[in-house]
Amino acid sequence: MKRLFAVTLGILTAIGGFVDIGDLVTNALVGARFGMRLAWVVVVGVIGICLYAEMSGRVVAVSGRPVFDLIRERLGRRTGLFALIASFLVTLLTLIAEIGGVALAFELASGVNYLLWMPLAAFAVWLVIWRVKFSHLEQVFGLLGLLLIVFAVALWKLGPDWGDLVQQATSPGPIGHETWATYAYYGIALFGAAMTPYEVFFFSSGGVEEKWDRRDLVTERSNVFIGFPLGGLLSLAIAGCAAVLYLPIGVQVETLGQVTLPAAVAFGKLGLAIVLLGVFAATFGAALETSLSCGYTIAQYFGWQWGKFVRPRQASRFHVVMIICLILSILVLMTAVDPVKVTEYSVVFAAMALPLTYLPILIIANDPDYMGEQKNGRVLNFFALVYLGLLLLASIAAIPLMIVTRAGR
Amino acid sequence: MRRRLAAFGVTASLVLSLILGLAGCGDPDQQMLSEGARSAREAVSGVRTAQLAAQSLLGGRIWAQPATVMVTDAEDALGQVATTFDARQPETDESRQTYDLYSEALANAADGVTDLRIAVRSGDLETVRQLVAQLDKTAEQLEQLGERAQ
Amino acid sequence: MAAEGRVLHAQLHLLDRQLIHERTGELLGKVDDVELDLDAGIPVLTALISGHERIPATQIVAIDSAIKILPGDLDLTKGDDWVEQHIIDKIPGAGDATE
Repeated sequence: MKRLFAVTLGILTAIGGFVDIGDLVTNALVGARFGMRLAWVVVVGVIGICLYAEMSGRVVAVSGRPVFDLIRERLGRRTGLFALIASFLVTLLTLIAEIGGVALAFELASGVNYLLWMPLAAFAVWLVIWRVKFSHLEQVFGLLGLLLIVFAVALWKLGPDWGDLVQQATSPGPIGHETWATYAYYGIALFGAAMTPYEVFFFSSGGVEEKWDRRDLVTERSNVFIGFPLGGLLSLAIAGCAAVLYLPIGVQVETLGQVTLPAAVAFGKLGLAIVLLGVFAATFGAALETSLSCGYTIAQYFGWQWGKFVRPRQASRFHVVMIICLILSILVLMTAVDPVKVTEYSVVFAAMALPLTYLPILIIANDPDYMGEQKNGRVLNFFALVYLGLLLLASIAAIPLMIVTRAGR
Repeated sequence: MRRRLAAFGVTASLVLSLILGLAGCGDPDQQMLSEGARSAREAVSGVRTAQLAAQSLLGGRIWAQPATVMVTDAEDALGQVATTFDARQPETDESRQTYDLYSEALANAADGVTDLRIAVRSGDLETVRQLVAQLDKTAEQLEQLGERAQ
Repeated sequence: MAAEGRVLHAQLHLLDRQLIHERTGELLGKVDDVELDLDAGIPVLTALISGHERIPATQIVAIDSAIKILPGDLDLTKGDDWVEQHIIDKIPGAGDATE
């Protein structure tokens, strides 16, 4: 019974924790511009993150070592450093976007400018990391993030022509004034949003924080294989709401307000309150995950003590890295750069960094030295290699498409 | 005014078909038209968003603060679209006409949303109601302008 | 001395591997280089190098997915201690476990 509870809790947390500012913005934006015509990318992305998160979780459970620790070991110091810089910068950019997202949610609720909320949000993130136990922070924000299910219910309430949505989903390609270039560009953005690198750093380091061993493989797999796909459904619901409400009237999503408005249209003030709370939980939770991931990647590369399972003074460099990252985030956001734009760029840059993150995981998951009998099987390797091809393709195509479409215009 | 608009529509579509026939990309007239149409479509987005937020406020579906934020955001976006388009330099008489037409429509839309923002902020729901209805026409006009080029 | 007599691949098993305190589980850095005795016919591992510290092979307890050592007098966490003293310890709650 206790076991079942732990598994359920893990799954619920994974669902609520799946969506972050990147998923919120990108899915709404794409839904408004292309309807459900890019829904297949979300499905492909979710399968990908399931494959690779399971691998990284298994590596941790069996070897006791998190991903970035092993990335350097397998890629060597130089290539490892390159992977570190790329992954770190993308994670930092994501952190900036998440903190901006928290501040925007408060701005919407209160009418007070987000620039005033932003330092508070960053400080709160630091305070939670400094004081709150790992399992608590993961559970609280994961469970609160479940409030985003309101998007799925709102989609129902908006009463769409389901046949039309299905028809859109099954006929990929650009419509209206869109071109194949913008279609592909946003496909890559969605892919990057679903497979953001920090998710595996956080997931695998979290495994160490919670002291997983081989017995926890069931929990790990149920989190990944049930939690993530249900989280992906939330992403599709966000896109669906935008497709129903915005596509017919030519609205392009450029603000967080537009992302949340469908819930208000469907359920009024209560709907808006729920969705704002859900957005807060999702972005704040992700801000915690990304700042921790900034600390995890750097500390694990250099072999420093890291983790919330020790007191802050025992992992002082790890904590300093996070403090610096949060200060950097405040400074960047102070320039009044639009956090939604930062989000849009962060998911595309994430797509570019993907192969650097996922290739080493695949190599390690096949290493009998670490994995013993738990190394990848042939079927899994086949699919993992197919995905690696996709990641490479997305990574190479991202920059040219960004230039050609002038970042999706 | 309306006649001029219609006449322009004819010339614009003539120019468009001519351009498409010649597949000329560097044509300044065509460039102005396609840039104008794109700006018009972006403006539609801002106007419709502001309208939707204001309607939700009237229907008691959102409270005043988010409505204000959303309408203000839309106003900012519209202002940016209008400024960016206005910064273009028309190089022929033809493109000058296009420029004036689109520039005016964009300014109109921006003004309309600014009025809406003022009414929403001051809590003047009766004016909000009127402006929401007016913005329908603005949006429809922009939609037509937006369809004149790819 | 558990590593004695075992055949190791320097690149695969030693370089860039995590160093862990055998007793406390503390993370102590990475293996940056290895020192080998080449006189014995087959090279024999004599020490690991991490930063500026030399860890004699006798202090290695196990070579696993990480390398477990008994650091003894070696100071492998200089950087961490410096940051601890100058920054982290000045923030309230630095010595508390999280709740």
